[in-house]
Amino acid sequence: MVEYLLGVGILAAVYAINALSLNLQVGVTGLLNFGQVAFVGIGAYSVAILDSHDVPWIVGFLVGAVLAGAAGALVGRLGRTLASDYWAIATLALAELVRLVALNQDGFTGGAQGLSAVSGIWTGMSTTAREAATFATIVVVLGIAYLVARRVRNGQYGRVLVLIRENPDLAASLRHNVVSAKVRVMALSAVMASVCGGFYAMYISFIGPGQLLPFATFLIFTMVVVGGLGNTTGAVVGAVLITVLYDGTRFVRDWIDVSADQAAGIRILVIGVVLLGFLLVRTEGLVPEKVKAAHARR
Amino acid sequence: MHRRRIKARALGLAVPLVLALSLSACGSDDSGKKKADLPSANTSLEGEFKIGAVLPLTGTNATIGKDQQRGIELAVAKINEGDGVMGKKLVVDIEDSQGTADAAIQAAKKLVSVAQVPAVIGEYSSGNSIPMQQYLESQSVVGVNPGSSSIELRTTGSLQFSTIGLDDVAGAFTADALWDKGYESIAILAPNNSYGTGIVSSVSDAFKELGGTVTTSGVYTEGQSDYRQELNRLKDSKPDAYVITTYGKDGTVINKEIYELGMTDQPVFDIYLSQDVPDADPKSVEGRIGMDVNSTSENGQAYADFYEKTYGEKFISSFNGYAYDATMMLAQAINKANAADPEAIAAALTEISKTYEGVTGPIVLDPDGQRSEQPYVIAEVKNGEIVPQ
Amino acid sequence: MVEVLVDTAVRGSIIALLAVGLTLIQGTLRFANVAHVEFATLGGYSAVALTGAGLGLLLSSALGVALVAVLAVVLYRLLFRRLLRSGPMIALIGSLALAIVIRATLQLLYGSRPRYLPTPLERGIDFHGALITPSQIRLVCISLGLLALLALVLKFTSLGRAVRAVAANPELADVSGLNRGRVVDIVWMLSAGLAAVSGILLSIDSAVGIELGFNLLLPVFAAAIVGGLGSIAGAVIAAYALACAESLVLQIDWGAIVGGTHHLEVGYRPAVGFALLVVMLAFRPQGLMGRAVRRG
Repeated sequence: MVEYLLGVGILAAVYAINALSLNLQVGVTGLLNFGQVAFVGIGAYSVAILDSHDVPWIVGFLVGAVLAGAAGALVGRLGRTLASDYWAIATLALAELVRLVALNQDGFTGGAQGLSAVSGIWTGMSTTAREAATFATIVVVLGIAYLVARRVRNGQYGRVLVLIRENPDLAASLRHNVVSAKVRVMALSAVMASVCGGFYAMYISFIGPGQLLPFATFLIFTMVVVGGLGNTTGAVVGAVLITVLYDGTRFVRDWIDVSADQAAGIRILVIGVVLLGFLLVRTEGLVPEKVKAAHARR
Repeated sequence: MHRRRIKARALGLAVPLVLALSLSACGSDDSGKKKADLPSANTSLEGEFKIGAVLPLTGTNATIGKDQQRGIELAVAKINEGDGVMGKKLVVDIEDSQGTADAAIQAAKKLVSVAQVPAVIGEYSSGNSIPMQQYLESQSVVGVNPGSSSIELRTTGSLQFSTIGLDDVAGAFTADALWDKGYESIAILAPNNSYGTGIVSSVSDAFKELGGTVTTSGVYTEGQSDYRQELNRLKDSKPDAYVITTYGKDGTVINKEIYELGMTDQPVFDIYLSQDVPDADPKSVEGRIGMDVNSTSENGQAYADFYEKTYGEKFISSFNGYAYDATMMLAQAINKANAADPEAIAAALTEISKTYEGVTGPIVLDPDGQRSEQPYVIAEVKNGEIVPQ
Repeated sequence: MVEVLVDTAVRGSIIALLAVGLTLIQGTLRFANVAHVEFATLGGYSAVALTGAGLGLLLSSALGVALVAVLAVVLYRLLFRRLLRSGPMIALIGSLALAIVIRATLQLLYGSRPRYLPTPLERGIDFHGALITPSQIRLVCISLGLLALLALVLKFTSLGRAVRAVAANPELADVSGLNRGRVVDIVWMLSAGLAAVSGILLSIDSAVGIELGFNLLLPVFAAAIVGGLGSIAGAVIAAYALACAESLVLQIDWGAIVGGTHHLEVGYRPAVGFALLVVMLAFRPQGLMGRAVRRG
């Protein structure tokens, strides 16, 4: 049981890194990235592919971070002229492209089979100790990601990003370089997401195109909205709550007598209803962003 | 006021829609509502002995997953009607893999860490069984694959086993059968997953070895609503026979389109006929030939009767038998090892397999823990039923 | 090459019916409704439900379309109006959430196995070397008929003028005494109804599954955006052009470029739409015919 709880803890921490990344884009800057899972995938595949060639995992993380960062910057540039909703659709399309490549380039990515037997970290230890060590490692990384995200959010740069979200024209007229600010925040977020992907692949010991489906992005959106769009602490709170909720509903068939098909439907439905409910009733989330009043609302 | 009235009227119309949708759903949900009539357990058994299973109960292979579940249910009933496992009642904790690898691993994790089972049966798709067995191996838990046939399963580890023959065996048999029927050129279509790519290469290699030509071979992405592009490529390559292997909802659409495109005018050969036929429109697969595993041993016949008596219908696929055998073998191995220790169970599995006579034939495990031989049969669909030729 | 033509006609018709609705909603509410394609899935399932209850296929389809149209208005009034008040970003995330809720609910009610409408299995008719089934011919005719009808309604009736007025300038339309709420309701009914027709036609041609609508999401958005948002004619032309491109990419022998004979994996077919979408958004966001979607 301890192992199982540690497992949920690890997942929650991995997701929290992802939520911090998405919050920087959506919550702080107002960039609706529907293709977040692509950055995660780049990180996960980099680690998994290099691992299968016996390259140390830290190299995989670095390669993943560089590739994802570059991809993030490119996507950020693509966003320079688009209204936010079309940019969102474009990111969704790009993520699907990444998934199709992962699915069809089987020589490289393992195709539909994916890449399995990715070695984890702390391989020398016994099972429970190893889970605990993995958990501790990821929590430390999460801590670093949190500090970075908070520094960005609360610094001068963060104020520019919020201004871009609230009033892009004003931001431009105040001579802020809007495009460069967007490109930088996308690159940073993509790097964070790739780290999340690397840990995910190592923990699950597997990565395949099935994990790059849009639902994965949607789950992270739910975390960020529930936590509170724009609030760094909120992103972590939301990630932990939604992970527990989503993973906990795995047990739904142990409590009530439903078919497996129905149970799978219920799990997804719960997430969808929670997100919709928050958007309708408590748009600001559990831990609301504070500085909003300082700027004119749209 | 006006606004409120419209809302009320709209609601009044929406309610019947929701009702209509849910009513029809109730009428058509066939997921195990009919409680099976299973023999009751031996009352002298005390306590429970738990093993796990991870099956695709939802997703594209849900039909097969449910059939595997039936096989396990029948085995559990048989075992508990007798002496159980180590004097206890055998319980198989069945988890849903949702037909995806990560969910399969997560489900296995739950079984290993929460229920702490020494052995896990599963899955059906090679793409899910391979990573799951790799995970089980890393946790030193026994894994028994009752449905996947990718040859990569040979390499998953010393505690991992299969009760079904792998693709190298099936591919060679298929190529021989096609050649014997006098086809000199074939075109192959299979799903884009490790099973599909594996079977394409093993059939192609074996068929070319015999002197035949493969005009085209393709894999299709699962879950599409239309496969005409893929099928047209097969058709345009003008082979003597089309060789396909599909299952689940993709199979339904593919079979329908094969018929619509007039491809049934030529021989269509199915690999694992019974994983394809139950989901298809009967008209679209009438007269179809194919290979399948042979389950007509003496043992097999008694089992088929047991299945039909319990569920009120014939086998919906041939995969329940392997799940039955997997459960049976595990129970015997645990009894022989007389411990819940995975290492001991694995050793006992290899030992008992030497004389094990399963409902799918004898299951002799080779040094890799794989089933070394597998009886196959050529069959044909006649009046909607699969009959051996 | 005739195969390409048949392919284009069938797939283009399905995409066009959906893209037209999406573009109408976008025009009147300035909002990209990701849940739009789910109306197609709902259409397919309601036809399955009604035929299951013993009604004929034609009656079930008509009732199904009507029910989906009404449901769309209910959803707009109860949900989207509220979401839109919190801004287009929240509305967009909300429509994504709604799409997930609809899919999960259908899975809960119907399971993940596909359902079929009670239509006979038909052998395709040879049309200059390509095979087309009677149900596909009906599909194309019905789509084209409805699209023509829609064009006529928007062009020549007072309703059409009102819709165009609201689309062109919502505030001005208010001032000029139009009942904007009523116009928006009708636009929702129209677009959801067309989506439901598309879903039912597709269900007849193959099957209806939970992912029916979602699989069409990006091609439909691609058609609407390439056509220029708000432009009905643009959406229709772009839908057929996209379907044609998808089919052609697979037919072309790329060997001339890469050497040997090389056909693209069929698995890459959806990539055509994605790529077109991204390129279009990057270089010509205003679409082939229509307004800019640039910020500002």
